[in-house]
Amino acid sequence: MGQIFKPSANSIASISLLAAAGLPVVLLVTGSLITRSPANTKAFIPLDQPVPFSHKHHVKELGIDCRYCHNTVEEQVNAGVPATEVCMSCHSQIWTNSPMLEPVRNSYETGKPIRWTKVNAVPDFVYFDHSIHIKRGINCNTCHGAVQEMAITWKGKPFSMAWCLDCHKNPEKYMLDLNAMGSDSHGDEHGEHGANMMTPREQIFELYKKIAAGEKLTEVEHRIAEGHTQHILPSDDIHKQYKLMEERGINVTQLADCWVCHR
Amino acid sequence: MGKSNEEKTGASPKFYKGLEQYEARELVESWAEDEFPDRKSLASGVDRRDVLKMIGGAALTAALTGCRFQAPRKIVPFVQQPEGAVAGARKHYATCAFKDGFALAVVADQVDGRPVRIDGNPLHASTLGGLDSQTMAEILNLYDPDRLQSPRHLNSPISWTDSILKIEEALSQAGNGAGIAVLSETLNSPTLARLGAEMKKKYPGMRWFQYEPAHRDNQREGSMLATGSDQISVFNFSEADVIVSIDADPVMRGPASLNYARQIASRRIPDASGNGMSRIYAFESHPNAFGVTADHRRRIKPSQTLALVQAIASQLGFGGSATVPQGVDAKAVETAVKDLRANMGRGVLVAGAHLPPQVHAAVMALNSAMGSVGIGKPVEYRANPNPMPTNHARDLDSLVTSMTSGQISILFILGGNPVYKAPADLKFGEALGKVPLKVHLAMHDDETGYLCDYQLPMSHFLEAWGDGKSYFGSTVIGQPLVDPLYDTKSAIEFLAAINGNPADARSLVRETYTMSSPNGNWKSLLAKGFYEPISQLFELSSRTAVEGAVNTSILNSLTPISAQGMEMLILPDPTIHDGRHSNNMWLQETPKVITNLTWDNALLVSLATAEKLGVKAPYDKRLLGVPYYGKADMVTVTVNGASLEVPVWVNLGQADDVLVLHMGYGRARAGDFGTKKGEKAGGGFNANLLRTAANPTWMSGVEVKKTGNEYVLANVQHHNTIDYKKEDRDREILKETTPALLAAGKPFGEEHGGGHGGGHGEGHGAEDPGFNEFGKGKDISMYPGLDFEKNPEKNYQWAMTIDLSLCTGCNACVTACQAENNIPVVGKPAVQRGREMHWIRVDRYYKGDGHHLDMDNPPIYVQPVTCMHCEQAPCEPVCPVAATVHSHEGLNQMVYNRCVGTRYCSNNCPYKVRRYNFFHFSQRADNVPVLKMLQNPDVTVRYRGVMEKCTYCVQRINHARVEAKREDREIRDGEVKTACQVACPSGAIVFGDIRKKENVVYGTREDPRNYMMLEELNTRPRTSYLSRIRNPHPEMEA
Repeated sequence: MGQIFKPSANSIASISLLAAAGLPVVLLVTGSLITRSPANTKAFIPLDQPVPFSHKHHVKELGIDCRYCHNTVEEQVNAGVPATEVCMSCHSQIWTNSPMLEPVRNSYETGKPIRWTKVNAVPDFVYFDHSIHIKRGINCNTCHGAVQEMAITWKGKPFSMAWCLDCHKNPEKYMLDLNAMGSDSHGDEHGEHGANMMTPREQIFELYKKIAAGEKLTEVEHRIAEGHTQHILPSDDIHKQYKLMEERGINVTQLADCWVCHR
Repeated sequence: MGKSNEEKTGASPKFYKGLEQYEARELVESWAEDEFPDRKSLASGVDRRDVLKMIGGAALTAALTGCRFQAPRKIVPFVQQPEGAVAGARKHYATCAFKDGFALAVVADQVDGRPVRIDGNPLHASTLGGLDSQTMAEILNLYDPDRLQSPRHLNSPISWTDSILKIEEALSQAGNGAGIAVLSETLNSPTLARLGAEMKKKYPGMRWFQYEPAHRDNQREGSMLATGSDQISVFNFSEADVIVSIDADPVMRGPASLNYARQIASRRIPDASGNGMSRIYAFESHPNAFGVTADHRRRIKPSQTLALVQAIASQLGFGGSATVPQGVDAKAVETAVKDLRANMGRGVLVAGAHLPPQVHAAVMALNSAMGSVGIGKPVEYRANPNPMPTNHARDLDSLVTSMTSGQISILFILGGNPVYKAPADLKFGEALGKVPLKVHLAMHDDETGYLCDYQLPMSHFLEAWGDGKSYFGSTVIGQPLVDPLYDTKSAIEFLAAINGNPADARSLVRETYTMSSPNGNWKSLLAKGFYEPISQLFELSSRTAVEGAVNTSILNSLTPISAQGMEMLILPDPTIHDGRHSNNMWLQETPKVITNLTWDNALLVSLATAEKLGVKAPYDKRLLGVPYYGKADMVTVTVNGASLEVPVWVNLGQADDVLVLHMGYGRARAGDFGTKKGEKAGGGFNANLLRTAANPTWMSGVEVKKTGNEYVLANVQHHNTIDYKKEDRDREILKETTPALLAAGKPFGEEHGGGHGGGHGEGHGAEDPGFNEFGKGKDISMYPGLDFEKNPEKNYQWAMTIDLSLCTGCNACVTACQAENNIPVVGKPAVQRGREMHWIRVDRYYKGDGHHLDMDNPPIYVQPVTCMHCEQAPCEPVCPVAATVHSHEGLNQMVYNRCVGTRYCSNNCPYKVRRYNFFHFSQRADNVPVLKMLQNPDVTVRYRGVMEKCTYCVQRINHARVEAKREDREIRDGEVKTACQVACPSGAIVFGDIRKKENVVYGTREDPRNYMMLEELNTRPRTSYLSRIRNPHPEMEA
């Protein structure tokens, strides 16, 4: 009886052993990459809407404040989605015959609401509150991406738990202090809030004013407007950021407790 | 601690959860130790192959349920946004609920247009902010899927317009209206009364009858005897130094119980010198919540109560020569008399509504004779504020007579369910058959509706404008929080419609208001919720007491109560009342006060009576509630020719030869939960079959015979039991003291000495700013400090204190928690297996002396137990997936999404406060669309296979935290109130941040009476207790 296995079987065997050992790792890595990719999170994918509303046009080109439509963002859990009559407050005067706005006019006439597709959603067991994030000076774009660039709105960030926790554990990375950035004119003394000192909340919307006015943004402002973390700062500036958090009363110890967002 | 634990080991426990623990310990221990005490019943017919299949199936389904994709969701904004409409924001509206024929001022919450919660209105005397279990559960009645949804005529659909047209047509042929009759429950709404009067102008012969089983006929007739008119007794218990209860339960029964509970609580804590505490003597036929509060509790038969009052009167020197009835503790009566004499004018008697009129007359006369009546005195007699007070039994009787004799041609039944609720001997159903046109306006297709021509759906009080007179005289406005869910009308709307009055209910209610206060501000009225005499607690103004009108000479000329053989009381059920809440699953599953029965009623008897009847006592393995393991014996109760077969439940502390049965059960048409379904699903037994028009609540000459049949009851008493075997422990679960001992520095009674006095353990002095400031007791852990201790000063540190001196065991907290936290109902079979989901439970204990338990009349104690939020929580280290972890604010967090359901945490919890969702008990809320609206949107609805427990209402904490941060401040003391705390009628629960010394909760931690349950385990609970204070007369044992 001849040999069943040729010498090459040895190498096949060792390769298969190695592959078998490596396979779970490959599977795990691939799996986690897929779950984190837009294929799963649906980030960066523009969604169809009944009306092709362009944030880019309204925010950047026309300079309308976010709060004109999302009017409860500073006080409430929900930012608020505008009622049809809010759209009509302008569009009863301009673009009154635009075919794109037909659903809006239709809604206003029939009293049937427009059914928008939800772009940014958290699961039901996540209890997110817009007002407190605004109060603390977290820019809209930090979570929503560069909304001023979106012709059709997409989810700017993955909205995964790891992504939430990145900021809840290290909020200093996403903090912006416009007061300090224009520091030459205001003096560098902390605690002295001069007439020009802006609250964290004001700073958020100040940034949009700058964008709408076409002013040049500093690099840090630019990064925040794009929805990124602040630029990697030298170590002393990190301390500045910690100080900033202290000023704004951000209590990092408690921020990542489960029951802050889940209950 | 005065004595070490070692010294106590070996002694018998003093507190028993029940007779079973005393007599049949090993059975009770099976509940404490065995995870599935009834595994035989669970595994019947399952073999090894089935187990393997199930494991495989479970693994597969577990894997599948792991993957879920969220469909894209829609945002649907308004077209025109109403002013003030904000998505997801909670709004509060003052409105009006009803209890025992009077209005309660309540505040209802609304989110996104749907009502989600009812609380008391703190501005009004009827609730003072607290609320009872039933009224809170009304929110579920609103969303009851079994509600009548559209009008029906002879069982086929009809429109409202057609119904009204046809009814108007019939009315137009009614001539002067001699054949028209209206039957309502207690007529309480001034607007409805006004519409009734309007209608009577049109049809002068029309008659209006009132009937509901929880009426106040006895009080009314008693008052007629004593004063010649219908006066209501309004008690100012805060002014009473001595309260003698004649089989009364002022803290749970009656329209003013919420006010009374708060007032009584205000006098249950002595000052530093041990003074100022009221003393309560309770002479009771059966133990109730007031007996738990009482300092001295004695048994008495209902038939003996009149003699008792007369004996007290004669001993006080108000004439007569009555002696203390046989079997009643003469020493206790003598002591009570001594106390009353010493506190002349500051003592008061209160009689139970079920007692015959003579007792009420005697009590009114005696109170008056003692000088206790008047403004600023313990009781006031005032005119009944209801628009048309009447004698309900007589009303019903004359209605039935008229119906039978064919005098009634049109009958309107506005609410109520007389076919079921009327005493059986009246044969209301039969009489109804003689009425040509019967119109029933009701929320359910019930027994009465079934026999009526028109079944018209009635609006819930949260759906319609209405008003009602409160017991304290003011008129409470009921504003709707939602449009009617179905095609319904309220009684006001219906009466206006058939009257041809075109006005809507809102303008009718407003018109009534304008009539009494022409210059009133309607909007500020709606914000407040009520008008007219504002009788705030302690602020007693603008009222007319009628002292002097009482004829005290009647005291000794009243007809004696004659009784023979066994006596029986048929009372409204402590949970589902007279059957109006039969289909309310929350209330069906709420354990009944003292007995802890759920889903059924049973004949309550004393142990001696049970033995006499030859039925088995609970320790006979029988009534432990283990399904298919032991059953309750059934007996036939025969009285006045009617008989009923019911199971027997032994209720320690009940008077011998007294039977107690609750109404509301044995329904034929009540919906999914209320309809009687037999042993497996509950539904109980119809006590109304035994009631007669002559003796609707109390009857004597009752015969009871054992039948040999058995019935399984669901009782939660021994569920979630703290480890019984460690006898040294359960003595520490409940602590008590007396005012004198407290003043002497012994906050936990004689044997505990004063070691704990001062509140702090030895581990930290005033100058020690360490973390032990919050955690009580010396830190003897070998482990390094906990994570959340790192920045204690930066984070709020939440804690709760429950004052056992104030708790009456009324279960308001249980329902409050159920409504707030979306707690599902599990059903009778699951309750029998110990799977009820309530996050807070009220344990009942009987107290023995360490060796022996008085089985006739043991002192009864209650203790609410919920998650202790231990700083060193035993549940946390045993969780394999870190699903339960500590927050920096000291909360023991439960992360539902991480939980894989090992139940190790529950196993390791010494307090047994964790609840496991075995069978997707919340499914009903998922599947029935209308029940989705019931859920509190601020709290996750948990799925099957997940552990859950008290969160300290973290949603409220989070809400307050965000609000505070938004306003750049810290959360103020009292800003966060847990649901149970808000509901508690006696204010026994305190919650807050213990970092700050000025906070109330810090004060309670410093209180010498403060103790931790099972402190020796070093779990350092955040929930602590204040020891119970009993104020016995120095010359008598408790």
